[in-house]
Amino acid sequence: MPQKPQSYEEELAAIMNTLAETVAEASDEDILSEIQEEGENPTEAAEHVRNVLLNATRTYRQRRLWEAQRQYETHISTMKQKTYNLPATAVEQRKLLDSILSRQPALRPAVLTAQFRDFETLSDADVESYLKQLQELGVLDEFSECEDEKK
Amino acid sequence: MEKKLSRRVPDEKAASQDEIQAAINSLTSAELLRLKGFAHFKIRGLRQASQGRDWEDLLQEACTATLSGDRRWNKSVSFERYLIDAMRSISYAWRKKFERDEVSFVPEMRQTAGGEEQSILLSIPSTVPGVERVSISKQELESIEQLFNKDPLVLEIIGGLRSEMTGPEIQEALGITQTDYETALRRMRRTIQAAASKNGSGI
Repeated sequence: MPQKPQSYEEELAAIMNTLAETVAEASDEDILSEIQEEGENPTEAAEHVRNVLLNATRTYRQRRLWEAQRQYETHISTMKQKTYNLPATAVEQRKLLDSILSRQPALRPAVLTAQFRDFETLSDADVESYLKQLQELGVLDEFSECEDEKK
Repeated sequence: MEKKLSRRVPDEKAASQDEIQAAINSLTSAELLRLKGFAHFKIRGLRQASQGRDWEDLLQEACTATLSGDRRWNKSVSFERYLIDAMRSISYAWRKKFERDEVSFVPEMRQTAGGEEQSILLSIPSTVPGVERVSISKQELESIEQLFNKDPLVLEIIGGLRSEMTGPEIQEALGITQTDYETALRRMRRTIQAAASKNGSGI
């Protein structure tokens, strides 16, 4: 048998990788009988593997939810710490939001969601929150500039 | 690393997350056990490059990479086959990263501010496995060969694999058919599996 210098690690890897490929090509019968020879129940052993995969999907989804939640909380926290240039009273804030929605009707569906179809049903806190978000988006500044130009 | 657009599975052929979930639930017992067996031997082939990861980690990594979009399952290929290909690729990447990141410590003489010579240890990228890794691999190879000291054909095949011979080359050198070769490999696999089950993690 021809010999070629190779590290022990590479030799071991060559053996194990070859055996891995034999598993990939093994028939269903061989795979199931080998598990039985090892004293395991094939159905139970297989379900354990399925659970490994399902756990991967659950963990992935949870991680994404956690990340989205974390980003939302960071965003809210940032908003709370910022100084917003809003009218002083709830009445004036409501008038401002109403004006903005009248001038920019495209924003109306985003503000008046299925939950709050009627502008009057928005609470004072909701109105303030929407105005802050609109300021974040720069809409408030654009609106103020337009109003200034008209004067 | 950016994926080459020409090799990326097109959107219309790539499975959605719901389709991946459905595929997992549809895998048969034999397919699931093949995935486990394949992952098990790939991890064993990695040795220290596995860095403590086991077959479950390899299989989960293949699944997670698919869910995240790092890898895409082309639905024209069976999900089992796709996961096997993904694990093949991931285990190769793990090995390469391990080899890149491994360092050796070498002494170097440096002069201090006071003009004295001082020996310090530097870490440099290693180009060869350390003594401990070599010893562990050597021992495992010897243990495997001992399992087959009454099976000369398997010992010959092991010798061929250690010499980087391919399956056809081994068959020609030994004058055996492909069926004989595959039967011997099956015997080898079952014996090594049984020894591993008996002894715990390693052989």
